[in-house]
Amino acid sequence: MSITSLRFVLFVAALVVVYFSVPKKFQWLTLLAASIYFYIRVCGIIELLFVLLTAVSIYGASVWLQRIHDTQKMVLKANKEALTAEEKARIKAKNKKRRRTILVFTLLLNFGIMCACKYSHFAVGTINLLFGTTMNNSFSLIVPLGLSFYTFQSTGYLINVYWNNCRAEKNFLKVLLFISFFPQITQGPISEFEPFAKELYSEHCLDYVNFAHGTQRMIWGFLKKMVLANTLAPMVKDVFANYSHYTGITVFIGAVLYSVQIYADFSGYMDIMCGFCEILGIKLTENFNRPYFSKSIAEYWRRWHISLGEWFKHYIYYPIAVSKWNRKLGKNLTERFGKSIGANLPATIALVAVWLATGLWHGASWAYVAWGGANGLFIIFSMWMEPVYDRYKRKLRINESRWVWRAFQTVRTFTLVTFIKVLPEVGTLSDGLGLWKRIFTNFTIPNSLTDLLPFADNVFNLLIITIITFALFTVSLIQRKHSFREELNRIPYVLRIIILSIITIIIAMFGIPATIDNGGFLYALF
Amino acid sequence: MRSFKKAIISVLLFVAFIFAFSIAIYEPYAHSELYVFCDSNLRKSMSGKIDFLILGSSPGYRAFIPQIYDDIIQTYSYNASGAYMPWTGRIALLKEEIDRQPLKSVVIEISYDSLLGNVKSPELVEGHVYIEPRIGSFIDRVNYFFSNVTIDTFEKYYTNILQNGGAFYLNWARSKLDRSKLDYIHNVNYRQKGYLPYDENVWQDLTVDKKTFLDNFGKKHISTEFREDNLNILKEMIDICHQKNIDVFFAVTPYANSYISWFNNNDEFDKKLSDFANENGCYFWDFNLMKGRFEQLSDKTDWWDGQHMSKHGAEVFSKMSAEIFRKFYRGENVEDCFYNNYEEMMLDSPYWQYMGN
Amino acid sequence: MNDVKSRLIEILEEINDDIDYETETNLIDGKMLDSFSIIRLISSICEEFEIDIGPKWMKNENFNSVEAMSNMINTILEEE
Repeated sequence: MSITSLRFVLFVAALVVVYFSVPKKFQWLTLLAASIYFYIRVCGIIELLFVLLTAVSIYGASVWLQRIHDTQKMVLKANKEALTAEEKARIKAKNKKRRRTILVFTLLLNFGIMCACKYSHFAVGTINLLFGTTMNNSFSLIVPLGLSFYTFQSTGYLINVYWNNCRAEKNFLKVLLFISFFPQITQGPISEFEPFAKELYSEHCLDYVNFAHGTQRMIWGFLKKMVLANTLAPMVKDVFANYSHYTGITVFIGAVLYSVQIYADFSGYMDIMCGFCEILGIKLTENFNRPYFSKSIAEYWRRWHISLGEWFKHYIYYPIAVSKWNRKLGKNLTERFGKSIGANLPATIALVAVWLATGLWHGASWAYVAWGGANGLFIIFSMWMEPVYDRYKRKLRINESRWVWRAFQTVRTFTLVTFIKVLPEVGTLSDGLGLWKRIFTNFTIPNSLTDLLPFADNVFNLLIITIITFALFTVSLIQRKHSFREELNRIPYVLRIIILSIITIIIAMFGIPATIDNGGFLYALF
Repeated sequence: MRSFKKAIISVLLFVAFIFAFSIAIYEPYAHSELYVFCDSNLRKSMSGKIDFLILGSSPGYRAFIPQIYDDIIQTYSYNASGAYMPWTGRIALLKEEIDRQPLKSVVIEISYDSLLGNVKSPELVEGHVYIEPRIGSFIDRVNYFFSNVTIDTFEKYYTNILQNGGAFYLNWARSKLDRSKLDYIHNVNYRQKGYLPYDENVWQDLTVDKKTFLDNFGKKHISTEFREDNLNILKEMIDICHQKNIDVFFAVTPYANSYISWFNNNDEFDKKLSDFANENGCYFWDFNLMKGRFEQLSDKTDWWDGQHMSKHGAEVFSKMSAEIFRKFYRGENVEDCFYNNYEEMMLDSPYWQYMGN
Repeated sequence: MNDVKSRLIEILEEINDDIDYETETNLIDGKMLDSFSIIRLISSICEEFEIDIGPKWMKNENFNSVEAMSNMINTILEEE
């Protein structure tokens, strides 16, 4: 079952009906049943076993951690007077060690599975390259759908239980639902247990406004994905496969189209799933916030794939940046080299870790590691250069609130992001670099539109994607100031429905053929 | 409760509008007889007249010119073939005509891959879209829809309807802007009793040079894994005809001189079909094996791709094949009108010289 | 308490003196302090109050206002 198919729409419709028909206390169970059914249909039973293994290990570990913590609290309280400070400290230390062991073991188990499935091929290939061995690296390991996503989501939950930020859920099926919830499992968003779980488990009534907004959002998502992204897909694929045959400017246009395509693809999926959850009354974490309007790369990563950035921030960046050894290092450096270096270096170390990990998460190849490194480099560089930039901005009397400056920042960021993004998508690292080289060294001016856009074989397709990209841009512009939905609500009810039905026909007319040829979601391979 | 009611009403309204818009897009395509495939009223107007019916897919659609048959063998013939014709479509059309026409002969054009396809697969959905508006009664159309379109194929089916309907409006708009463009969609006269050339002036020179010929010779294989369900429909069609003493002919239309050489088992295909015909009391003629084909049909002008004939090619072929039918109806032996097999025929091919002979 | 608060405000002003820390309650959610500033802030707090702020405290609500930060610091001091 593909998400952009009639089957999926019928599945979702049936689920909504069932969800609001069953007694409210069973609603979350219907979500669980639907998620398991979905997973088996899209994947298979063996892959489901992987998910179950993660769920069982996370559940077991979290409940155990909670029990140790609660027991300790009870014991210390009950024997407040009886125990000496030394004895109390010993109990605390012992329990801390036990809890840490449980955490580490469970994390190793789950990340180990994730790495084995995702990176064994890459690892073997790299070892062969470095040591000249010829190990067999053509594994065909099973990669359960959404492996990276549900692993991150479940380990995030476990770590929060370890930190005592949230209480462990006692009901195994509820934990299983949190891990396997089908709108999230394929491509995210990666949710924190609180407050999302509360939404997931609680009872919901059908609210018409949510229903209407959710449906509108789903239709918008299908439009983005099926018509815009899938029409662009063959064009972009052509440019990436044949960049050496096209002029530099054509390749650059292809890269820009890729930026549009992947945004439409990924955010379209988010719209479909967020819209669906909204119909149920569940608020799904947002993953995008008009990312191409960002003014710096750091800001871009706070607006693109937000949930992944948050995960890395909470579980890798902060722990490293705020750890004792790092703070000590910062203190020493401040004493020696001054405040600037002392503050920036700990953050830099944390950033390097985050960005190499982010690169690796996105793909098992050196191109992706380079991509992550490039992003990190820009962010770290601008962090170090901030005082220098400030000085120059003051000298040149640049007024940061003027829209010209902000527009410049936005275009600059978009261009940078486009270049970086393209690097791992062409093929190997050398392919990516080759594409960059092509853009910067080939200055042939194309003679005609067909020379400029040789990958567009059909004027109609160009027209459609231009219109929809323009619509997307306009909606985003509007969203800076107002809620687009409120604007929509101003349109009379019947007219709204007519517009939605016309959009649906457009999706059927142009989206279905494009989807049949080009199918799957780009992020679904994670 | 209010939310529930409002939600249901909204969904119903939404679906109603989609339905209405879809019908608006589909209607001129399906009912107005202005689109190339829609011939339901035309055939109805010929009730009681048609005695020679051709039922094939696109090769047959582009090859048999009824007017020529009428002139040569004094029939009142009709070419009810269509592009991507599914077997369920053929039998639907046959059933529609069998009772209201005085049929004496039915020619079933069978191309190399026609018996291989799964009617329910998404790839062959387009054929159903073309058949439906050709079925006379509304109820039969609905039945056809429900028996041939499943949830999995509905998407392709629906998008096909929208695209064909949309193309119709586009062509209509284009013809308004540029009268000089030949707009055969509106020119019903261009269609002749079911036969329709792709375009008045379209053909391709399919002649190949020595290198291309030798590179491609005998490289393709014709699958003889005919699908059970397709054969069953064919058998049913034969039964219906035989009950009314109608002669049934299996026909393979001529393919381009170069194109037929790309296959390495044409004779195997012919044998299988011929055996099937014999078992079921039908005649089988592979018109690729017509004597004189290389002299009269040329790769230069007579096809617009390997399997589909151009207007000129159809004229030549219809004359040649009608002569064969004439002989057959007079009780003469037509075996010497044909080569015995492809091997024998290839000796006379203009490409044979490339084989170093 | 006041002592904690005033020392806190001193640290904060060194990082970014454009903000009125007495009244502001939306420091993180309102994107007034970014993640770099937070790192510097935490290092300074840890040094100033001689405590360890573990990653479990890294939640928006603990840093949104001077009030919240003081509470957090006091809780950590108590636990030790």
